[in-house]
Amino acid sequence: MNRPYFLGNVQQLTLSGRMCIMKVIMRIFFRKGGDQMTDSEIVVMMKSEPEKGFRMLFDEYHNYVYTIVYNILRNMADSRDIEECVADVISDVMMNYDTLHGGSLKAYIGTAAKHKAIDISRSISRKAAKNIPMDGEFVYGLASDVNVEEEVGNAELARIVYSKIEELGSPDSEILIQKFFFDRNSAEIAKILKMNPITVRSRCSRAVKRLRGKLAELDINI
Amino acid sequence: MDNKIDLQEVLRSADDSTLERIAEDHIAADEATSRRICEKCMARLDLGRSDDEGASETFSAEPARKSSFLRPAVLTALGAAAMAVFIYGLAGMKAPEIKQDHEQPVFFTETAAATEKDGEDTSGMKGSSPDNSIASQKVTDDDTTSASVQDNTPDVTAVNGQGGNHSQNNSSSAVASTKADGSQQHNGLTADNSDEKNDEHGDTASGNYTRSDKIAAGESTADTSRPDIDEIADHLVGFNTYAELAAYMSDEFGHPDVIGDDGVTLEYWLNDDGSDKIILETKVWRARRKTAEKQYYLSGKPKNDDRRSLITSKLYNKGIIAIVNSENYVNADVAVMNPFNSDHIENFASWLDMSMISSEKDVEMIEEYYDFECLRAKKIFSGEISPSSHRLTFNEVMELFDKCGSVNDVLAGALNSQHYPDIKGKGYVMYTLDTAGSKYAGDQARLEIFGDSGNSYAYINIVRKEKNELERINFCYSGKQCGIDTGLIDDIV
Repeated sequence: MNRPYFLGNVQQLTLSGRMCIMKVIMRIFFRKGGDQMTDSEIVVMMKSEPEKGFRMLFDEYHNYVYTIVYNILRNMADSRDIEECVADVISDVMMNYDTLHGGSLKAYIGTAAKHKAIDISRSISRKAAKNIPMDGEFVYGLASDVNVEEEVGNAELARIVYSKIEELGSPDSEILIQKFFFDRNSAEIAKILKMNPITVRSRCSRAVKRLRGKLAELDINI
Repeated sequence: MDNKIDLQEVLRSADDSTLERIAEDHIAADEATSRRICEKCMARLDLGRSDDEGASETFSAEPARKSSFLRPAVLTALGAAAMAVFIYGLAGMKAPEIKQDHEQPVFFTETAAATEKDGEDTSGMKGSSPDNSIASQKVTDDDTTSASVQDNTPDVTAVNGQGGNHSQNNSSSAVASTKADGSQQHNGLTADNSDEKNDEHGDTASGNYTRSDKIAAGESTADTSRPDIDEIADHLVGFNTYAELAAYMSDEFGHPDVIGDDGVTLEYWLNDDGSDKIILETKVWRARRKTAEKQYYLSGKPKNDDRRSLITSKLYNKGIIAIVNSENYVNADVAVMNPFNSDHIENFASWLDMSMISSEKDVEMIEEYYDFECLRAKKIFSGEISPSSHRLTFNEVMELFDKCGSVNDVLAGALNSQHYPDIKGKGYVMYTLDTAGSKYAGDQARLEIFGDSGNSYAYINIVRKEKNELERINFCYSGKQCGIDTGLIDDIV
């Protein structure tokens, strides 16, 4: 039933919810610069002031949703489809997340993003008349003959490589992730990072060299 | 592992926890994409917006519309719920006083009183004035560029007119004893508070006064040091909050030079005539620097404590690098999102204002940050060339664009006119241009020439001060695949 999500239980709001609201207010007044909103604060706002709640939700999680969606749809959807998917996910969360009993907001959003992206990948594949496995979880990223053990191994390798990338520090780590994860070219990276494209290219090549050195110590060759 | 791995493939195999880290630490969607996605969401949720900017602090209060007949009921319920919470909170919990105002929701109460001021400040925070030669304060009277700088006051005046005009008033008045105490700033130095405080000392409330008045009243001495922007920038990287900055200014430099009539703004002059000053906005916990040419918000401790972030912060607080937004508009109002600390300032800063360089230390930081040479600045500091040596003009560059057949010819022509560009990099040079006498007089412009073995580019970027917009004039070269002659650049020594 599409009940107005922003009404909630007014009685409850005024009794226990007021404590949350007051806590939010006090944190806002005395919050140091840089603190991020917690999920409970976002949820309170989603219920009491939907527009503010949406903005907080968007600011906090749109990057997260985009990353998940992009990772699933990178090879099969264009940027417009990815944007539509992200917008669908966030809108669905705003409309359907149970602010009283919904559990972890982040977990809900992550799951919603993954499922939505998989749905879209299926529909794109259907349009392309490709044969896909019944279990959509394995549509993306893995070949049909990859087993779970290898999947875990790849994930662990990715974790290690990412940790080493982070050790390079900004902006080199950002450049590498933009290039090798988000598949952006130097001009696009330069625009995002407000750098000169030539500087991006030269920093990228130096960063790869440094990363190679770090990974070589772990017997990982790139 | 002997086999080489593909970096791209490895990262794509990341599991949920690694994806989460990537999302937290890196930019997934650029600003334009984020804005589009936000607009799509708002359209689907039927949420209104007050303006087109994503960083708007106020929203038109339109609840999501499920069906038309629900709207009046929903609005009534929202108002009743808000009123109930407020009344209960005041009566039962002795909560802090919160303004019951739907137009300015509780979330932004601390900025509510200054929302309009913020808005006007945003529009008034224009791009930099035309660039001067690098050490303009060292320039002698015959520097032709300085005259145009002095005339660039309309935008400054627009911001001044909002409440800062008084700050320029040097008329004598009673000295206020109120100090810029950090903790009190934190709670908001209202006119009432300042009255109470001043009553204790028997002095009048906020007012305008000059350093000489303070000295005459015994509140200061003639040898009290003035704030130095280098020193302030060095300290800002350690300040988490506005309160820390305010306390520092008070402790180090005593009374501000001017307290605005409303008691909200405090000015600390960096020079004797107040044309360069730090303004503390006590009510919104924000600080800005205002010079004769520009003004910008100061930013506190950067999000990351790596070297690059610290350099970015210092260069930004010195006005050498400016914030740009996704459309490359200079001085984007990053402060709106976070009044004192810009969490991602190191990701935004881009536009270099070479006229704000004041020391070799600045040059060292810029070169470390950008990995290129500030050639002209270094030659000036070393004494090899004079600060007033010829600077490439906008009109000269347009002539080069007209008569030259290739980017390399443009480069050669530019080097012939001004041998030392402002910036020299690998396959890249940049000149800040003298726009006096051109159609862009009063605006800031730079010529950028760069390329590689296959392609070459030359264009002028102009920041239109009046509109705070970026324009670009491209040089159309004949034929593609014309590489840049890096030898021309390498030969600049």
